Formats: sequence, C-alpha cells, structure tokens
Amino acid sequence: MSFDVAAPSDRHGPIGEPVVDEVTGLLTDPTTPVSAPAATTEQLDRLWDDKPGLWGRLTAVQNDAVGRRMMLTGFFFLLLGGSVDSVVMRLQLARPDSEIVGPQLYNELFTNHGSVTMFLVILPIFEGFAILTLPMLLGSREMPFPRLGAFAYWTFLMGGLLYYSSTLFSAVPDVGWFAYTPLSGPQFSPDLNVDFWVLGLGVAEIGAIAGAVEIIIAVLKLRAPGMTLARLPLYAWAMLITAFMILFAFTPLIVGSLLLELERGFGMHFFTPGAGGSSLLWQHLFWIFGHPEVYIQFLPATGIVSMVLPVMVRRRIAGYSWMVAAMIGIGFLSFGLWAHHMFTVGLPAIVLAFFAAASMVIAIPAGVQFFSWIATIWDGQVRWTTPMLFVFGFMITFVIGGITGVMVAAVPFDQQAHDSYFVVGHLHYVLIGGVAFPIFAGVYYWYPKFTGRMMSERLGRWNFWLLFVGVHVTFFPMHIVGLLGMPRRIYTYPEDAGWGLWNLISSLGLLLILPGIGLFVLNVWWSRKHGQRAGANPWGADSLEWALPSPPPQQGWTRLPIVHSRHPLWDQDELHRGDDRHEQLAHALGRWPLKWRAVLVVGTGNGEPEEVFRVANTSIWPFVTALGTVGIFASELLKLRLGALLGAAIVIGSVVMWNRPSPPLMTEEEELAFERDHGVPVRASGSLVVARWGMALAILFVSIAFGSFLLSYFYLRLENPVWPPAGVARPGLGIAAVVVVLFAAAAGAVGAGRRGILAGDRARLVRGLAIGSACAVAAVALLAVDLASADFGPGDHAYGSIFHTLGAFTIVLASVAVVMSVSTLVYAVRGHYSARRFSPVDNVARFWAATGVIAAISITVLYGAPYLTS
Amino acid sequence: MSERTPIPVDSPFEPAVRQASTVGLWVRTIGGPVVWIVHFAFVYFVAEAACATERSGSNGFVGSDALVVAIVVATVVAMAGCGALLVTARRADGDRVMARIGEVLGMGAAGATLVTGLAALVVGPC
Ligand code: HEM
Ligand SMILES: [Cu+2]
Repeated sequence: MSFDVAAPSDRHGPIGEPVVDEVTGLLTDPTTPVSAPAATTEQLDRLWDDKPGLWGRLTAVQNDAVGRRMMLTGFFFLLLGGSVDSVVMRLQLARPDSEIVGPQLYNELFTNHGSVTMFLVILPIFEGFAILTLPMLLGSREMPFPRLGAFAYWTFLMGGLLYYSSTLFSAVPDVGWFAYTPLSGPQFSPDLNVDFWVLGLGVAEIGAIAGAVEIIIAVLKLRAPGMTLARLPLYAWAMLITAFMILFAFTPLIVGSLLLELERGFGMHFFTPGAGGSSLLWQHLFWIFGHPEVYIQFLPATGIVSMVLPVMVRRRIAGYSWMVAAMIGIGFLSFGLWAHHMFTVGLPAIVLAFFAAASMVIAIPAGVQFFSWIATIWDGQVRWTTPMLFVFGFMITFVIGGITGVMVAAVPFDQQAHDSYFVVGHLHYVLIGGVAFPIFAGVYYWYPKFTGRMMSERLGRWNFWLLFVGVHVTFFPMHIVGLLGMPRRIYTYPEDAGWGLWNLISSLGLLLILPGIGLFVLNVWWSRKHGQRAGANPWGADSLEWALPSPPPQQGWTRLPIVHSRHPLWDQDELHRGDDRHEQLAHALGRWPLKWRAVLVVGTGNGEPEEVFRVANTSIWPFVTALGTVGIFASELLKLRLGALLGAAIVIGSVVMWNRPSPPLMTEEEELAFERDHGVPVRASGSLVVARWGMALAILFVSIAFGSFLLSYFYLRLENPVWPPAGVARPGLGIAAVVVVLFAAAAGAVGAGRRGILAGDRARLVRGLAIGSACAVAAVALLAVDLASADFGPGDHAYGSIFHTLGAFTIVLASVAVVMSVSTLVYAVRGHYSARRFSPVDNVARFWAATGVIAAISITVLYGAPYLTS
Repeated sequence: MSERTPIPVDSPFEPAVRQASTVGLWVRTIGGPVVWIVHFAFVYFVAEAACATERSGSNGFVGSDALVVAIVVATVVAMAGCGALLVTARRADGDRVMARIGEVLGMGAAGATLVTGLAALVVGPC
C-alpha cells in the first residue's frame, strides 16, 4: 500500500499502539469475522504491487494507485477551481458597484468554476472512489481492466491540465459551463478560449467513459462467490447505475463537442441558423448530458450514504429492493428531464409538458430513498460520528435543494426563476448538500481502511459544523435575491437594486466554509501519521472490505470470501465457509497461481464462479495512449493538423502494443488440470467473459455516439423545410448500395473466420480475416471517394456539414474495425489463437457485426433521407 | 443455487461452465423503465416533428391531430407493454428480491408513462 504509514493490523495482530476496534461502544457483538491469514499473502502482495520509482509510477495500473490518484487529483482541481474562483466571485459580489474584477475576468471566473466542478472534480472523485473500494467491497482482487483504469486516470489528468493551460495563453473560457451557441461559436468567440473548453474537457470526458466501463464490469462480473445481484451492497448498485449513465450521457456530449469544434475550426454549420443550423441543437445535446450529469454526481453520493448510515445506526437498510428500484428509476428518468433547462427557449407547449411531468415524477424515487433512510434511522440508534454528521447534513440540505428543484420543474415558476440566483441557490444546495457532504462522509468512513489510522473526530466535528453552517449562510440568501430579481452571471449590481445585504451575508458565509475545508485538508494530512490506529473493522460495519486488515495487502483478498448474506460481516460467523465447491475454489486460489494475477469472474445474476482469468499487469502503454490522445486534441487546439495525425498514429500504435498477446505463463494443459479439479475455466491468456463484456460496452458506446449523430441529423432535417437545400442534387444510390454490400461481406467473412477457429481451423480464420479486411478497405475507399466527389462541401450548409460528418464517422468506425481485424490477422498468421484462446477473435467478429449494422443504417440515412421530402 | 452446479467437461473446446443467460433477468428487472424511455423518446420526437411542421407550414410529416392520436396510441401500447412485463415477471421463478425490484419498476414505469401521455390530452399540441 503506498500510504506507507502503518503496518497492517487487525484484531489478531495489533502492533504497538492501542487499536480502535470499535468507535463508540455501541457495538453489541464486536467480533465480526476477518479474512483468514494465509501463508501466501506476502508473495501475492509483491506480485500485485506496482513497480518502484518514477517508471513504476508511470506504469502503475493497480486499482488502489489509480483510484487514489483520481481522487487526489479531483480534490486538487476542487481547491484550484472550486475555491479560488468562488472566493474572488464572492468578494466581488459582496458589495454593490464593486470594482475588484471587471466583466471579462468575472465571466472567466464563473465559467471556470462551473466547468471545473462539473467535469473535473466530482466525477473523478467518485470514479476514483469506486476504483479504489469496489474490489474490496465486492470480494475481488482487482478491477477488470487495470490498464483501462490507468488510461482513464491519465486522460483525466492531462485533459484537466490542457484545460487549465488556457490560463498560460490568457485564453480562459468565458462562455459559461454550458457554452451555449452562438456565443461559443466562431463568430462571437473567435479566440482559443472555447477551444480550450471543448478540447481540454473532451479529453477528460474520454477518461470518464473509460472509468465507467471498468466500473460496470467490476460490479457485474468480479465479485466473491455467492454474492448474487440481490446481495450487492447498495454502493455497488449506485456505481453500476451511475457508470451506465456516464456512458449514455457523456457520449452525446462528446458528439456535441465534436460538432462545435467542427463548426469553430472547420467552417461547418450545425448551430448557425443562417446556414441551416440550429442553436437549440447544441442546447439539446448539452442538456441530454447535463441533466443526467447532475444525477451522475448524486447517485454515488446516495450509495455512500446507504453504506454509512446503516452502520452508524446499526440497522440494516429499510427496503433494500425499494432502494435499488429507486436508483434504477432515477437513472432512467434522469434522461427524460433535459429540456427542463430549456423551459424558456420557446419549445412547443406539449414538449414542455412532457419534461415537466418527468421532472415531477423523479421526485418520487428520490423520496423513496429518503424515507428508506429515515426508516432506518428510526429503527436504530444513532452514533454521532463525523461520517454520520455529514450524512445528517446531507439529509437536511438535500431536501431543501430537492424542494427548490421541484419548484423550478414547474414551468410557470421556472419562467420567473430561470437564470436568476434562485437557480444558483438550488444547484448549490443539491450539489454541496447532496454530493459534497456524502463525499466527506465517505472519506471519513473509509480513510481508516486505507491508511490504518482513524481521522481525528475532534477536527471532524469542527470540519462539519463550519461547513454546514457556512453552506447555509452562503447559499440560502441566494434564493431570496433570486426572487428579488437578481440574475445569475452578472459581475456587479447597482446599490438601489436592494440586493446588497443578502449578497453580503452570502459572502460572509465563506468565512465559515473556508476554515471548514482547511480543517478537512489538515485532518487528512495530520491523521496519516497521528491518527489513532484502526483495527480491521473500527465502525463495526457489515460489508466485506472491513474484514481485511487496515491497510489491506495489494491483492486485497488472498483467500476470497464466500458470501451468504447481504451483510456478510453481521450475519456470517466465518467468511470462508460455504458450499464445498466454493470453499475449495477459494482455498485453491489462495495458493495458485502465484506467478500471475488471478481474478475470479462470477455469473452476473447468481454469483456462481464462471472463470478464473489473468488480469493485465503494469504497462506504460496506457500512459502513451493518453499522451497520444491529448496530443490529438492539443494539436487541434493549435491548428496543427499534422500533429493531430501524429497523435492518432501514437494512439493506434500504443493501443496495439497495449493489447498485444503476452506469454500466458502457463500451458493449456495446466489450465485444464485446474479446470477439471474445480469446474471453472482458467484463462491465463486473458479473460473471455470480461473481454466480451468490454466489447459489448465498446459497441454500446459506438452505438450511442451514432445515435447522437442520427439525432442531430434528424433535428437539422426538421429545422429545414427544404432538404437538401435548393440547388443541391440528391446523392446517387448505386455506390451506396455497393458500399453497404461490401460492409456486410466484411462482417460476414470475419464471422466465418471466428467460427473457423472455434472448430480449431486456423486457416479458415486467416482466410476470413483477410477477405473481411479486404472488403472493408474497399468499402471505406469507395465511400471516401464518393464523399469527396460530392458537389457540395461540408462548409456549404448544415446539410453538407452533417452529411460529411456522418459519412466520416462511418469511415472512422470502419477504419477502427479494419485496424482490429488486420492486427488480429497478423497474430493469427503468426500462429496465435486456438479453440481455447480465441478471445480477441471473438471481439473482432462482434465489433464487425456492429460496424456492419451501423454502416448500413448510416448509409441508408445519408443517401435515403434526402428522398424523404414531403 | 445448487441446481446450477457447474458441469466440468473434458472437451477443451467448450467453456467448462455453461453460463446461465441473464437476458431474462434484465428484461424482467428493467423492462418497464425501457418501455417508459422508448415511449418518452417516441412521443417527444413525434411532437417535435409535428410542431416543426406547424412552424414551417409546408413540410408536413405529422399534423397536430395526428399528433394527439399518435401519443394516445403510443401511451396505451406502452402501458400494455408494462402490464405484460409484470405478468410474465410474476410467472418467472428466480431471485425474489430481483423480482420485487422489477415489479416496483414496472408499476412505476406504467405510472410515469401514463403521466407523460396524459399531457397530450391536457395541454394543447404545439
Ligand atoms: C441530484 C440532484 C440535483 C442536482 C445535482 C442538480 C443540479 C442542478 C444544476 C447544476 C442546475 C443548474 C444548471 C445550470 O447551470 O443552468 C440545476 C438547475 C435545475 N434543476 Fe436541478 N439538480 C438536482 C435536482 C433537481 C431536481 C430533483 C429537480 C426537479 C425535480 C431539478 C430541477 C432543476 C431545474 C428545472 C433546473 C433549471 C432551472 C433553470 O435554469 O431555470 N433539479 N440543477
Ligand atoms: Cu436538470
């Protein structure tokens, strides 16, 4: 553990100082089970550790390194963007007619503050939290794709830095955190400011999606034997749903940002009304992301509350299934609310009604969660520890924010309150009360697990009360000035507006918040060395991670736990007893294999062992891939088109290196021997199951992106009564048909190759991949030629812009598929793959099937829709 | 759970454990919300299409009257879908907790769908 502060201790082996086994004496039965000590613990600990030194840091992939870095970097951006900006803004607004900062700087401040907190703070903190804690919580040793996790971290860090480098160029984004067009378009923001916003955050968004993929698979597949879906801790449910939401929400934003950048840098028209574009299209794409984003931040917070609260009141959560249903319901409903941010732009009345209805309905699942927490408290006996204080602060503050949310969800009210300080009050209540407080609760709660030391309760109390009172003093008055008519995003206001007093109170609240945050930082720092020693389970908690020593060894679980209950540490006397098969398997995996990092995969629903696979080890390639990615975006920023090509080449090269087959360290016979003993397949060359899920999610991602393009296409189509614009001929259908057939042939050939290797015939595999790649190259070339020879350019009209963009998307997608099938072909020719080790082939075939379908739809729309005119 | 004992097989060409398909589980659990969101997307897009028509006059995909009819029909179909899911879920055997979650979500989805659809009858089309 790189928090090298305390040697591991548990109840059986306290070292020197007294150990806090249990915090307030309320624990009736202090003997919760612990994970069994094992002779191989140290050997596995070395196997799972990252390498030392700088190289070790760059190549690190271990979940705790990645998770901790993400969290710390998120906090770092919070201190940078969340605090400095807001202090200056509040200083400026404290008095009327203030001249501390001018309008331009003020615009930059609120833009930076909003963008950083919404993109670079809460999201990485929660993804980091999940990556750090999930394996232990679920009784697994790692996340499914450690290298993808490392990549997520690097992209997130580099994206954030790219975004922040705008300060060096004096081109700080200044168009608000949602960058509405046309203000953010080339006409009104000709400088680089908005490019920094689009491109820097774009890199970070890619990181968010990569992290989400990790989390989904971890929760669904990497769990302890016996942990069925119905036994998942609520925090895992919350993260699972959140991760899916990230996939569905961030992808449209990436597509929207791409369109914006094409408009800004390449003279295309998506959002310029004069040329057939629509500025509302941006608002739609942004808020399809933006509203779910607020719940993406909120759901993990409820997950933390649902873990901490029951432990602090020593009661099981009331209504587990209601809780899960509520979270799933919120996940879905949050995608039907986006237009409530657009109530004042003149949408059709019936559309307003749909969105208002959904906005009201979402209060129901949120209420269900609330009552479930209240019932749990009712039933139990509260221990007022610091985590519980933050939970309490969360409940009070979030309820107020939720109520103001329902108020603005009513169209007539919102038409008054929109763009006023009322909204600023609302959003800070939900974001600070609903999200930040639970984060603090979570840090206080899990800190001892990872450092072996408790955080100071005394500092914790001060920390909480200063923040709690400070937040209300600062943000409550905002509702009032908002109703008095103060608009948001103004840099000053006249004395006779009568808003001075409330603004002064708001600003004074900061005098409480700042020391509150300061104490938190101090507490985290101080307790690393001086906190009381923590035992394995200082809170007397129910979930698995508390059975491990604090801090745990690198691999977490040397011997996997066997789960029989939703609250294993409360209900089970023993963590390693269970059905014979599970016991033997868990026992065997504690001793074998010791040369590679083995992780168990279980059935999604039933938690039955399904596969033992080798999880990836340290690698520099995620870092290089992230460098290439940021290189593409940075070159685009500086308009160095060649640099972008170089970046793309780096990305392709390093992704190939990252995924190249490594020696399996074990023969197929050895795998089979274990398989016969335990009835679970062993895959030392990489998982089949996890890889399939990874591919499925990659396909989902591509499909969502494609869906967003289609949405943009049809939205523009509706906005333009004449389509294609007058004077533009409809595209010819002949070539389109040939291209579709070629794509279908490519997908078919690759699929046939896959069936070949499954039957043990490598020649058929090679043939299939070769024919498939050739057809695909022909299709791509043909499509490219046809696009290039069209008599209307991408810059002529929204029609031309979306036509060429969607066409190019299809080409890029097919090219990715070609790279995959060609590199698989190379390995196949070199003799890789067998009927047992065919996972990459499987993936290529699936990706090709999806590409075929998407290309067929895309080409049908591109070439067919112009004929669909009334 | 013990009836799903893995079957060790000797053939190296088969995965040794047959994985129980979870498609049914997902359909029973989140089928309702999926119906809701499909319905929501459908009525939203039809409304946008109809109202764009009204704004520009000539370019008719959907008329306003057709809009109301389409929304009502879609709502009835979607609610029937939720109902069908609830009935099948009740028949299926599986984890009780997951069944319960599916049931709550199915009923919630039906309610949310109804509320969305009712808008067409209460608020004028465009
Ligand atoms: C997790 C909880 C929530 C978070 C984090 C959150 C966050 C936000 C944020 C950031 C904004 C401002 C967006 C902007 O910059 O314009 C906002 C506005 C809004 N929120 Fe929430 N919100 C939450 C819950 C709710 C709920 C429960 C409702 C309704 C039931 C709601 C309704 C609205 C509406 C209608 C607006 C738009 C107000 C306007 O701009 O006129 N929010 N919220
Ligand atoms: Cu919203």
